Amino acid sequence: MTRLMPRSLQGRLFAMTLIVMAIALLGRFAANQVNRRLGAELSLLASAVDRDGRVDDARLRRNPTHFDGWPDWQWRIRTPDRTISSAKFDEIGSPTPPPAGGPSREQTLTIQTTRGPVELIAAQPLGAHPPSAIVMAPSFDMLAFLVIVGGMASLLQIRLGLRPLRRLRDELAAIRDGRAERLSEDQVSELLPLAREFNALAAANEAALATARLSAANLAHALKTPVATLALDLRDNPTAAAQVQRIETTIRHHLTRARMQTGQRRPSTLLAPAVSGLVEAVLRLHGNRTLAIETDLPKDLRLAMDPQDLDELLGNLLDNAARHAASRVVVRARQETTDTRWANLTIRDDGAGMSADERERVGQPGLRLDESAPGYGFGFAIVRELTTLYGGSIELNDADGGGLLVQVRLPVAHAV
Amino acid sequence: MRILLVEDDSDLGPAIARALRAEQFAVDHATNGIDAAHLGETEHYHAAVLDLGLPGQDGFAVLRHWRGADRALPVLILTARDAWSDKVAGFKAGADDYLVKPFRLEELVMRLRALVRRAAGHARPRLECGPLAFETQTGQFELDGLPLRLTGLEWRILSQLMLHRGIVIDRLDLLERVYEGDAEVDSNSLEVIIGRLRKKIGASLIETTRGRGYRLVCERS
Repeated sequence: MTRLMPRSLQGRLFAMTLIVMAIALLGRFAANQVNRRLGAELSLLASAVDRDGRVDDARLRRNPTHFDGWPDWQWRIRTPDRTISSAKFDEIGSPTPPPAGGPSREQTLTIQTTRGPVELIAAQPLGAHPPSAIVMAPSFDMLAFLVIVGGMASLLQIRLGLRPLRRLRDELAAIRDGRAERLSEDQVSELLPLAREFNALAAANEAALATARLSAANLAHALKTPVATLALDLRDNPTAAAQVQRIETTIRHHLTRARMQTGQRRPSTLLAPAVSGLVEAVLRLHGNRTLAIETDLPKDLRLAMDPQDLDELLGNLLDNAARHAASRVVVRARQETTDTRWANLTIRDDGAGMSADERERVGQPGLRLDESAPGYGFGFAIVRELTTLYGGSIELNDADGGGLLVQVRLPVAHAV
Repeated sequence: MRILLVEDDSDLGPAIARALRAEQFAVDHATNGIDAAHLGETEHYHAAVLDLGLPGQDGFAVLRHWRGADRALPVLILTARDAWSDKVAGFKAGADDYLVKPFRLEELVMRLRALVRRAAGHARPRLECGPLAFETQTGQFELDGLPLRLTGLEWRILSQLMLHRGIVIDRLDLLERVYEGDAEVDSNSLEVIIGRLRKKIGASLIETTRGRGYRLVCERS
């Protein structure tokens, strides 16, 4: 379908205003102008009639030059002696005297002469349109002025009128950024149903997401227990056990992915308590080793991340660090001073570190899970995916004095 | 070592129980949360292996019940829930270790042995007592540096004495910690086993305290 109207609401409203204004102004002006011109022509006709009611034919022939190019106009002069008219006057029909002030396209003028009244009629058949040049020319300036002023007024009106739409857009952006959960219901009446519908949709989406997560968890339980049984039964068969191991790794990978937030909402999570819970968990999981995990975290730093995603990201990093550390892991986080929308988190261990080649390989997208370095690959692949999901970045480097230094850049949640 | 296994899956539960028994553990197996809460509160276990998704009462509730009743037994959560948030929640509820299904049996056994050792207050995995040594991670006993072959009951009794070496272990307590809940316990069987152990490791290592119990003596007087 071809589009006649402009794409923007503002454009549409403005175009419609202009069209309606032009039609109204032009129609009104045209009618006025015809009447005025007919009146003018009537005066000219009248100037060809002298005091005694005689018509100066020569003058009459000279006069109607104004009407060149306006072939439809007709005239008639009736004196006590005779009746003179333009050639096609009779075709208009016999005009009766118009009602005073009516929207007539004919005008009459009666001149009292010494020999009685002379009646002049200037007329234009209804439905015939005078050339616009004749009609519009004299008032074009005025018309242009009105269009400009009217146009500006309507532009202003439209901008003001559409302000609630722009506000709605800002609110939607806030939801996308996680600064809000729902649209406010403080909307103009035309937008209120839209806001309510959107909120219902957002609620439905959240419910669907929760259901999906729940079925992922259910799937986990349903699959893992039989796989665990299988693994116990097959532990004396290395080939089968390796296959079971692959099934297990694949299930873990996809379930972890399924659990990731889709980025629709970004709630804020306090970093320090999350880390302290994870540190306790990691210390217990590595309970048979002497290990110290030191933390240096701003107390009130909040990250714009789902708490489960943050746990998953940091849990994997801390677990890897703890596994490879000789005795000590240091976790440090700071909000960036140059760009406060981001925080830098570093996890350093005092282990053997990784070679540049290993660092390159670990967590690469497309890296097959069974090719990944034992202990590193799986965790880092998830960490990398989560970091990317939140728009952050991750870097692996050598720590001073050996060991691995993991630097992650994560989004800060600003107080709303 | 006596373990409480709480697992409702009708295939996995018996499979784990079999595998743990093959590693010399005495295993009581509960298949729902209510039995588990009761057993853990009333019986004496070295450790519990606890599934989270259970009929009757979920694993978290069972764990909180035990901790609420002041039962300090080491608890290893064995679950399909592998999210770090679940692990954090598990430890906050009072778990001592957490293992995700599917798991390697060796890992479960190693972690259980480590839990039992740490609960007995030993930081190092190798315990020594005179000529006797106990490698807690592998469960292997050595006498004068040579591997010692023991039956299941012998191993359980000796490991209990070893974990608390130098301390008198009550007869009843020893019985409770080496026999499965539904075992037919003959009151004389303990003496019989102690007798066999003395033959294997030397009579002077295990001292009998009349009317009370037994003690592993490490320093010769």
